[in-house]
Amino acid sequence: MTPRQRLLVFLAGAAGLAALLAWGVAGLPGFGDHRSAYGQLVTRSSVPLRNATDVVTVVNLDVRGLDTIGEEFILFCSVTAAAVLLRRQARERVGAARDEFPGRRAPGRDDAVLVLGTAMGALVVCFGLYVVGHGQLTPGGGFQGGGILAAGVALLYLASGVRTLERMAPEWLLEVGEAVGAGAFVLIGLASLAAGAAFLQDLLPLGSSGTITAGGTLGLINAAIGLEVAAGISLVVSLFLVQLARIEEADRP
Amino acid sequence: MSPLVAWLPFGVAVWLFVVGLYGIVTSRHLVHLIVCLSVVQSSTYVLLLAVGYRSGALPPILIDVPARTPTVDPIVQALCLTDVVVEVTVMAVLLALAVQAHKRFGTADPTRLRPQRG
Repeated sequence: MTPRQRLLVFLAGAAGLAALLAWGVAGLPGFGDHRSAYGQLVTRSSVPLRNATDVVTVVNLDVRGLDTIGEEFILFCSVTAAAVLLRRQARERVGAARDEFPGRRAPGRDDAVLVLGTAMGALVVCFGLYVVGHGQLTPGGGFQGGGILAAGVALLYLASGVRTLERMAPEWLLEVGEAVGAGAFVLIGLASLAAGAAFLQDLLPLGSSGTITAGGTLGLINAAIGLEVAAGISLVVSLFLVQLARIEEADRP
Repeated sequence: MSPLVAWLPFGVAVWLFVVGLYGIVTSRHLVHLIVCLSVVQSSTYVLLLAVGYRSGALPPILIDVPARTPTVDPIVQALCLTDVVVEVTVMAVLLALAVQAHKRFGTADPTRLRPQRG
């Protein structure tokens, strides 16, 4: 099929799809007229029931907690799939780290970049921990903070190169972090079952609203998710960098 | 609110979905194709957040908020968060596939990839 034929087939299909989507959207309540009994009920009960002020975290980790476990394992499986795809293939070998684009010489290590990158990395990690820790109070939580923490690992690479990255955040450590984070969420749910309550039911004291201990297990679950997301995304970043910098064809001199 | 403004967010969501599909169909590079897929998916963020919006309402963060003040719907915002996480991980898998396809076929142009037996 030539590109032109393919484009014509697409345009016919897209016109139909756009018409169907526009028809479907026309049946929605207008922008700004949203009235959801479910959403209002959750909003009104999140402080009385959980002492948590970020309703989005309450929805994700409590009201829809079981779904979030499923989502967490989507992340886990995707990271595993990426790791399998990026492993050394049969005709390849792991060579010395060539931290440069083919045909271009990398500049040597620069002290200014190293100092600035390390300082920024420390700040980013502090901010990531803050976002993970305050997920039940203000916008944030394990998923968002974990992403910020993984950015710290990427900064470490930018400041000091792939060898330092492999030494300070080795693959086995990231794999263990990811597995512990994913397992801890399930174990928190099972602990409630073992105590005779419902899965993921909160048995810890709820703390006082507005402090970091508010929300009982919400903080623990956020910490588990933060660990898993930070380790998982860092692992993917590290796998791509090792793939580019170290894995080469075996028959090369 | 004028009718144009009232339907604009939904129009943007439909536009992002269709224009992203156009990019996928006409793509000449696997990385470009994967970015186009993320454009398609970002239409769902716009749609979800637009569905949950309520005029004059506050964000669902209940610090110093008087009781029974209307807030925008927290459920769709939580769904949006789920959506972002899934998109990131799916992109990671697809980019890993693109790296291996480029190594095996010597090209990242999807129209020049040929079926092969493993």
